[in-house]
Formats: sequence, structure tokens, C-alpha cells
Amino acid sequence: MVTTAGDSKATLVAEIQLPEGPRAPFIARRVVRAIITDAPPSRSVDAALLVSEVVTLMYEPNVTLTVRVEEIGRSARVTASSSGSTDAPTDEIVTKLLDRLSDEWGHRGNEVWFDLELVRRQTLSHLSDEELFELVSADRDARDEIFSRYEGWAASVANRYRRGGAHADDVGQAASIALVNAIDRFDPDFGVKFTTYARKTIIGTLKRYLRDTTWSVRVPRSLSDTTVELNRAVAELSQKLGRTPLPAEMAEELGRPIEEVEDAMEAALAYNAKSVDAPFSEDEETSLIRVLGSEDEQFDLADIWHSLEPLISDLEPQEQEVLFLRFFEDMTQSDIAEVVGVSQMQVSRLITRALDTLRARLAPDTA
Amino acid sequence: MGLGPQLVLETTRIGELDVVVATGEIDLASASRVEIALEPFVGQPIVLDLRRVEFMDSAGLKVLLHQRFRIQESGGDLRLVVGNGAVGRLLELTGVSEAFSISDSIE
Repeated sequence: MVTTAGDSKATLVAEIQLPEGPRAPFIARRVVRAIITDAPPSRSVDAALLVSEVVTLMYEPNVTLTVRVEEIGRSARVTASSSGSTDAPTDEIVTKLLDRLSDEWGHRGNEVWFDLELVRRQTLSHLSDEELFELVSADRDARDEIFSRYEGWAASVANRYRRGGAHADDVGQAASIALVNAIDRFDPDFGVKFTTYARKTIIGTLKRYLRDTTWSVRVPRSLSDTTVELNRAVAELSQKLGRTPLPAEMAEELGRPIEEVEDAMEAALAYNAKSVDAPFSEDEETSLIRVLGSEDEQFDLADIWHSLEPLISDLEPQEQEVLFLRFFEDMTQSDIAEVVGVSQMQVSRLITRALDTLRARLAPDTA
Repeated sequence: MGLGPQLVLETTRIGELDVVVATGEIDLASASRVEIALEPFVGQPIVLDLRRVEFMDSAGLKVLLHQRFRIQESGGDLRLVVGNGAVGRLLELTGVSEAFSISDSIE
């Protein structure tokens, strides 16, 4: 850990004076994470942890701390300096983290600095995917290497799910996060290819993302999924037919009942909803909000029920009935027992079994 | 954004267990709040659920080590529930995971 005095090629990226007070480490982390964006995700996480440690170590009331980020070749150098005096770090946990996570660190005058290589080491590029997945839980470079191999592919999967209103950067970022999750969770023993598994994770994440962020009115999940497919079918068919396709043609193309296609077309309208506060017209004072009633809590349940419908319809008829009575009609187990004509214990078992089945079927998408 | 409440702590009871659920980030600014939240349970068994903590550094770790010591000294027990996120990684990197009784779910 010797300080090197003459770092000739250091380029200053940013220098930020932290606000006084105990929020300093928090602000320092935000700054560093915002600056180090090109690095593999695990490196920017490490940089945030280390800067937090160093700033905490140097923190004293009434002392001004500054964080500086420089680029030196393939590394970032992060330096925290104090307007007071700073001793070399001796804290056991902090020095352990600096030793383990940084490539080099040191202390000079009133500063503590550390270096992190931001460019992946190339030594893993000769390994096969299978070999990399063996290493992934122990070696962050293996994880970064897999990430870099599939980054472009993930972006192309994500691109197909982009729609007006969803920002390309956000969709790309959601896809990157999904890819990292897929890498962490994938187990070659699943017996499927990584791309099969990752595609499912990415698409699942994006569908949730699009549903949660870009609809101005929240639409049940199964409906907005259909709308994504619908948009694609409209584009393809329009090209093939040379005109806007009819609902029946779209239903055939998607292999869905026509009612479902019509629901999805309706749902697509929610994508651009009107403000309830806006006056109906320029010379009118009444706005939509004044003529609307309040929201019925049952709407949320109906939404959930509708989202789960495809799964629920696969359950035994009796299980379906019991679930409906319990969660939609809000009946007690003993009331259900009376209506259905079984014991309360059996109702309890039916509910447990139905919920287990639903969880198991949801798991491949959400686990 | 990102300047909202940094850490939310909720104390609940799950069956016979007292559980403190932490959500957010534990660092210099918020670690003392973890200490305060655990304070009433010195001398008792207590579970600290850290699965929804997105960030923790050694400031948080020191509070946990300190409170674990106090709770055990007085005949209690501090158990951590940790996912595979930032907290698990920190415990592993610093080698203090052995000091705690850790599980990945509340049972």
C-alpha cells in the first residue's frame, strides 16, 4: 500500500464537497454511483461501499470532506480528503474491505484513496459459459464476463418490448438488472439453456416494468401482456395486408379469443388517459374528478383476480369456488364450508392446496 | 430523488417472535436508529430482518456486533435474517458472519 506520487495520466472526473453532517457517506455513495456508470455493476457497488467506509472513517462534526474521482488508465481512483487531519486507517473491518475490494489503497496527508480497475480483466474470456457458471458464485470477474457476453443480447430482447412512453434507457436498465439477476440465479442443473432462462427473466421483468410505469391507468397484468403482443401483431399484419387489421384477423394471428383482443385494444386506450382535473372544455369549470365517485377497494381484488385468471382456471372446480368465496366474497372458512357442503378443515386444506399450486406456477416467472 | 427516509424500522410480532424489519440503507446516519430499535429487546430473543436492506457498511455492522454482545450478555439472543443481497455480502467479506446466528427466512 505505498502511495505513488507521480500519477501522470490522472484525469479529473469529478470533485464534490460533501455537506456537513452524518448524511455525508450517503451523498458520497450517490455521487460515486452516478459517476461510475460504465463499469460492470459489481464494481460500482464495490466503489460505493468503499467510499462510504472511507468517508465514515474520516467523518467528524465541523470538518469538511471532499470526494474526488479520477480516471487513471483502466482504473478509477477515488480520494476522500478532509479539511482536518486524517490518520491512516487502522479500523480492522475497513482495512479488510479496502484490501479485499480495491486493487490498491493508501493514505497521504489528509487523504485516503483507493483504486478500482473498471475494465474487466481479460483472463476469463477463453472460458466457456459452462466453466464461467461454475465460478460465478465465487468470482465477480466470472459474473462480469458472463454479463458482457450477454449484455447485447439482453438489449435486443428488451428492444422488442419497447413502446412509446417507455424510455429506452430505463428499459435497457431494467433488462440489465434482470440479466444480472438471471446470472445469479441460473443453475446449470435446471436443465435449460441460460438464454432460455434469462429470456424468461428479462421478459418477465420488462412486462412488470412496463405495466408498473408506463400505463397511465393500471391495467391487469394479463391484459397489458396481451397488449404488448397485440401491438406487434398490428404492426406485422398491417405490413402484410397493406391496411389496418380487423380484430378477428388479430385474434387469429395471436391465437387468442376475439374478446381478449378487444379487451386488450380497450386497455391500450388507458395508455393515454385524460387528466381528471382538466376542465371538460375551456369555458367549463366542471372537471372529471367532480363527477366521479371514489374508488371501490374491490377494484384491486378484481385486478388481481383477473391477472391470475389463466392460472386459476387450471385449478380443480372446487378449489376455484373456494378461493372465489374466500378472497372475493370475503367469506369465513366456516361459512364457505356450509355453502360448499364440506367440513371447515377441508376448506382450509383446499385453500392451502390451491395457493400452493398458484405459487408453484407463478414461481418460474418470479423466482 | 434518493434523499427521502433512508431507513424504515418496524417492530412486529410473528407468532411468539419479536421481529424488527429494516428497509432501506444502514450507514453512519441511520445506524444509531437500529441500535435504538433493538434496545427494548436486550435480554430477550429478537429477530432482525435485513432482507430489505439495500446497503449496509461497517457503521451498521458495528452496531449489530455491539447489540449482539449486549443482548447475549443479558441472556437474550439476536438472530439475523439475511438475503443474498448487500448485507449478506458484507457479512461474508468482513468474515463476521460466524459471529451471528443467520438464516434466510423467519421460521
